[in-house]
Amino acid sequence: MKQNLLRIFFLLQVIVVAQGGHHCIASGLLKSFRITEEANVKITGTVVDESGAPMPGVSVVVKGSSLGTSTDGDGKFTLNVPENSTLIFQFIGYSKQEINIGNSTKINVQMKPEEHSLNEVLVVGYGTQKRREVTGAITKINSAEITALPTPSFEASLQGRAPGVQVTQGSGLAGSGSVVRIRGTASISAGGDPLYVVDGIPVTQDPFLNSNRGAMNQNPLAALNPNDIESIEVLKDAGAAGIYGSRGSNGVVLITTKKGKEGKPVFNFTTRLGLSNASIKPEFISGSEWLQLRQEAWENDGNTGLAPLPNGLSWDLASKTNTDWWNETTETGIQNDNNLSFTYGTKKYKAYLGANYSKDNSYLKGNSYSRAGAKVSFEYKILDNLNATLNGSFTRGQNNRVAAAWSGGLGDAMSTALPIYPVYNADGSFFSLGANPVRQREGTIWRTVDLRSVAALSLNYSPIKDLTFTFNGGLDYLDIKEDKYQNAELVGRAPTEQGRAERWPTYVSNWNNSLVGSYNWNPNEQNKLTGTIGIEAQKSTRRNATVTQDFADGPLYEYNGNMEDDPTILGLNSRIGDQWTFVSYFGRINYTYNNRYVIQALARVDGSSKFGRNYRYGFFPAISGAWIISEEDFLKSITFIDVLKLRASFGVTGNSNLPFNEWRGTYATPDVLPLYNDNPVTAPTRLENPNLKWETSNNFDIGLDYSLLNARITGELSYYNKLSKDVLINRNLPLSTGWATYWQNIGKIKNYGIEFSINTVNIKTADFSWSTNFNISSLNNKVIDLRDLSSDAVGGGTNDTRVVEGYPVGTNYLVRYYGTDPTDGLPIWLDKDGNKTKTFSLDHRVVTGKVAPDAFGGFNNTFKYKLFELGVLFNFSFGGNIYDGSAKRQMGVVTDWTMRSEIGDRWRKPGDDTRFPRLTMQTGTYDGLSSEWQYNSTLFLYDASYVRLRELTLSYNLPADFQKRMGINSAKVYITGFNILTFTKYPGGDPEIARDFENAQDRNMSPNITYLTPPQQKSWTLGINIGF
Amino acid sequence: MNKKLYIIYLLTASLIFSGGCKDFLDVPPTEGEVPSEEALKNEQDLTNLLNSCYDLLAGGGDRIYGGKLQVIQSLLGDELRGDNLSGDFGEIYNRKSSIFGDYKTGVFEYSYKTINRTNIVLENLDLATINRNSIEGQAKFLRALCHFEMVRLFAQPYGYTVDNSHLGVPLRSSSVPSSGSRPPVSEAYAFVLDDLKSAEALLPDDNGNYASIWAAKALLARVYFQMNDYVNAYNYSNEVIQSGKFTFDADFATRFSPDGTPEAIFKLVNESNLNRFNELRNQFRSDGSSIPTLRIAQNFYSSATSNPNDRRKNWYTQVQGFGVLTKYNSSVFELPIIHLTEMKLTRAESAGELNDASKMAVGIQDLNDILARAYGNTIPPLATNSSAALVITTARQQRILEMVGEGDRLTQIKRIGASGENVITRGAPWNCPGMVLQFPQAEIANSVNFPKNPEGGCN
Repeated sequence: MKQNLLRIFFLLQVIVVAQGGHHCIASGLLKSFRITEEANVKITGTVVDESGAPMPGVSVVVKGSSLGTSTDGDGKFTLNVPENSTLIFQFIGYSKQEINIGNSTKINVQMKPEEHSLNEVLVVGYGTQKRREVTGAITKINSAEITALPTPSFEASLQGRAPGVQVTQGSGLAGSGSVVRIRGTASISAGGDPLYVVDGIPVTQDPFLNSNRGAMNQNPLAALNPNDIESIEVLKDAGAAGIYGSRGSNGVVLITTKKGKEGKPVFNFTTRLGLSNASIKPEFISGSEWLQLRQEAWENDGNTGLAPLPNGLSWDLASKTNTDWWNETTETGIQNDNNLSFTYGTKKYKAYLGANYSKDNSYLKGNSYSRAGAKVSFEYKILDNLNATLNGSFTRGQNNRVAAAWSGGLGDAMSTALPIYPVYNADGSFFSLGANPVRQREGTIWRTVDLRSVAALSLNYSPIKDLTFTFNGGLDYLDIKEDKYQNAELVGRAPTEQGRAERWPTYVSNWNNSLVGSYNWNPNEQNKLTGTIGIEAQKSTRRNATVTQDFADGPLYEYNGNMEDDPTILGLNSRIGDQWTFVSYFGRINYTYNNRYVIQALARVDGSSKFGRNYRYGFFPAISGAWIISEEDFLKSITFIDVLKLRASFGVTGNSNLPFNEWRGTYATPDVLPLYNDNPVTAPTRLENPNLKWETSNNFDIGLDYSLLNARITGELSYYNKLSKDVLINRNLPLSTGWATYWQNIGKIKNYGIEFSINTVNIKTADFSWSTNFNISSLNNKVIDLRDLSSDAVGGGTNDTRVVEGYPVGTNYLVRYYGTDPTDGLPIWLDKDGNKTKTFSLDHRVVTGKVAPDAFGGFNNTFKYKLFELGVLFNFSFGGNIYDGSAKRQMGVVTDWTMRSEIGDRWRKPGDDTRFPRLTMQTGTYDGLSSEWQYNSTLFLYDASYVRLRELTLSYNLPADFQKRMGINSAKVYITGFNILTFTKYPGGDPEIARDFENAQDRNMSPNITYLTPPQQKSWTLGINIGF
Repeated sequence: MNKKLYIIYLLTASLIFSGGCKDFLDVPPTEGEVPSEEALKNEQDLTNLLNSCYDLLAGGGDRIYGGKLQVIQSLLGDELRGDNLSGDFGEIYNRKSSIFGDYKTGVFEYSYKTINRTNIVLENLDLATINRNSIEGQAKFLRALCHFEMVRLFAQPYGYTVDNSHLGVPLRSSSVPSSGSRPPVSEAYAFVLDDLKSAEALLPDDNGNYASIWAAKALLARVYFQMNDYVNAYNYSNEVIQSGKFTFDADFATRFSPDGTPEAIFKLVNESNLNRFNELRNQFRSDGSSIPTLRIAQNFYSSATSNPNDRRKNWYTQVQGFGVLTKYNSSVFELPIIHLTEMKLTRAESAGELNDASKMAVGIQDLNDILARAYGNTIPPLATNSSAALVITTARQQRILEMVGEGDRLTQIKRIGASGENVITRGAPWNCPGMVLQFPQAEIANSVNFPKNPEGGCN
């Protein structure tokens, strides 16, 4: 392989040298039109893009004549035209504009990106295609949509914007990640996330780099600045994502960052400031209510006198206390985000510089995520046919952490921090007999700092016309340092002693190099062929360490000893924890005949160190085609149809998002294991599976793109069907074999559904316009085959979700609750066969629900009146279930947990017909219940359907003359409400839940399972965007 | 210009080949790991693997003797109070363990992990040339020890049925993974005895901190005692005591101490920086600011501390009104798995059961040693003509007092029950279903027709 690469490089080099002084192809975009006709009015003007930046190279033509010019580097043009002419402004990727100049001599034009025309340029992976040539299913999201909302991380902005893309936004913790699923969940134990590619580099995206320490999954994507993103293309089917072969079957999210533009210097500045709170707060009971429930349970159990209180607390103290722990752990959060960017370019070079500082103080006290970053893009035309582009972003993200969910903090406030516990003792010291999240927070210093740089050098070389070679070499480097310090009291020492400092450093370096050759063959008007071939190599190495300083005065980042003397403090003793490589060969041929028939064939060969020795390489072909029916003569006469395009694809994609090295049998060597009896130890760590390989998906997709009535109505309709085989399962083994789990390609999963989107311009007058975007996607997911595995054999982590043949991934597998017996208040269950029983048993568990919705989507309305604009975005999800894993303790056996107010609806005396059974302090009261933790039943299963007002934005564009007076190109002020209204039947908080997950399987199977998960943020934000 | 280009191309070329290795796809395992096929090459490797079995017993996340095993035994017994217990502890204490529960699952998983490693050792014995016998003997000893613990926790005791045809636990003599099954308890004991007898023949007289011939004999005494086979229990405990290799400790301070007790016949050691046996400290330790989770039952506490002259009173203290143990208050200690006190108590009770004059004399002396150590001269020794019944009663009573918190009590409840006596603890008979732990879900669900234990039925 090395040999071949060298040859290609040698050849390339020879060509470059041979072409050294050859200046042949100038950019053909700028064409000057000759001025021939009599023209008596001199008109000048400036053309700017949607962001207000000047646009060079826009063609300006007088309608009905051959008079024309194009804009210069500053977006300016001068043209002599006949009086009362109409000017046509055109630029690739932007809508054509026709403007009657009347008798004015000066005109300013703002171009709008062309979103649904056949000439829109889409990024397709290793190249771009015009929409006309696109045969796969691709959705494009533009930068305005990505930055519209103050989401905790950019991927959450995809929600409601793209059909087929299901986003479950993360919790209210600052910087938390979302679960993104494209066209359903096709994986069980392997990662089901799409592949994220930034400017050609598949980036580090593993949410488990720091496991779920503190009940939060470290989200590597949070360090990417949404303001640096120019556009996102989501590749959904084999026709599009197939070019990513073994990594395409869960979809690909292509992120294109901002680049410099030709023209004079332009600055853009945006700033916003917001206040945030929990979207929905569950209701908890007061201290006196808690005591009353406790006493009721005690007496129900046949006892007399006062019920004993947890940890020997006295009734005297308890009845005087009523702590609102929710208030003690939350506050109104403040969000602030500032961006300044600069772009400048000449024919020789183009530059983009961006700087960003943002801070999200979430509503959880002590929690914030701040990001400071810079983005550079520098493009230099070394020769007329050789371009070099250097792209880089450098970010420092600092997450000031608080414990959440099961780890404490707000989680304690929702569970073991009882309202009868005071924050402080009478002497002013912290109460410590029971949970005290304030004591925990004040005694802990905890932060995670990410340093991330995504940088790429790309060389673009055209030795001859229509032949281009692109080399892209990139490094994605991520350095995470998590530091935690707990004071003496929290680690069980006398207050005068030292506390404990811990550090978990992680370093991920991810190299990626690709070389792509592309050739356009355009023999005549009717035939157009583009062929692309390429090779790519990627290597990712993660190093990590755990450092504990058992006695320390503060966190290790404040350590003031000589670090060099003590390398362990820096985590320099880190070891390679994970290392994998990919080598890939791919090609794509796209042929268009007569502007209406397109056929595309692509294939990729992927080899990876992750695959077992018997399956080192996988082959992933796809074929797709499109028919632009509207180009046919029989439709040409139907004027209301602008575009009608039918497309279909079939192909094979894979998923190789499995942990590295799982195929290999291994032993741990003595140097990493502790001694026993001062002698070395070695031990087996993994069983071998030489047949371990990627998951294979057979994708079928058929779709119709339409544009009607001069683009007043546009949209698409798609059907997809994805059959995934060899689905990876980290299966359990009988523990008596000495092994717990083992990776195997076992399952089969089918996903199919329909995606529909429609964008309409309902009203358009000079002053007022109203447009609507609506999209809805249906989701059908079914596990078809698990071979010999029963649902308990696959396991489901801690969340009582399972995979069951014939049901979706993430099936709620629970005992059915029938109701309460009014005579004695005891719960009645249904056994497997549906017979009523009063004995609880895990043998009664059956399929009772699913975490995935039947349908989801978004509904967006934009109203414009003069300079005002109002945007209203709803998103919705119907048909899934929520399992509330915390409710079984909050409304189950009375223990040392606080309770939710829904427990009011409980049995108290014979004849009561209630939702909840009689209170008890003993699990034995509910016959068959082994522990309060096993009280998992449909009593806590809820309908997850919701409709949410996700965005409400009112903006005002400052008048042009004001802008001019101020010397600025554009200015906008706005106010945005985010997540401000939610309609749901779920009483336990936010109905959209992505809890902290234990591993990829949990992440696939347990979205919409909550366990004390902090609700999402809702916020109101005021912002200003200025371009000058 | 050409020079500039050259630099760029050199740079890009070097980027592409930064992998540099012969085959880019051949990535080595994690640092600190080797492929299985390269792991066992010589006797040292085999010895290291054997050493890992001890490491699992002592460390392994405290899942076996690190504490979880003893905690579960204590929870099922009658030494603790349960009103503050919830979750896994509540489930076990209330004798209704279910297919879930990480605590119990860990004990099961790690015991069989140890067994699996002993099997790998036994399958690779050809690598051993110098210490082959010792390695084989130790592997069999450890395999027997773990199987014995498992059959006592997850199956009804020996003697539950007359022919011991009741269901036992998976017996693993091969490292190749296969479905789990439950041969009868009789087979489990035959398997354990077979391993131990073989170990007895192979192990050296002195093996440092590792299992010696005496460890094998002491475990044989324990196994036979569990079977109510008093002849063999007496003989093996007698042999161990008679060997003179182990010294009856003069006081109680050393049993769980950094330097260990001279009574230890088989022990697990602790390097000070490793803090082994954490779970014992986590659940029992009583010199911190908070109340330990495991607290002594009120009646047990009052009777155990009723005699002011009993030096074993120092094993108890009170924290915020709760009686708790001090046995595991040392930050660092060695853990005796089988000690001389147990052997003496076993020998004494067996002597009483056998009621043979010469053995009775030995047994009475054993008890008098124990009484004298505990009470000094504040109570009179047993008379040399004491009845067998008195010897048995005294042995049992002293056993309760001596071995509190060591997990022994549960096994004695079951042994005595199986011997035909009507033993009721905390209101439930010794053989009610919940006195036996339920198997973990992963064992049941991944095996073919694996019979579950009946659950609950104790309260």
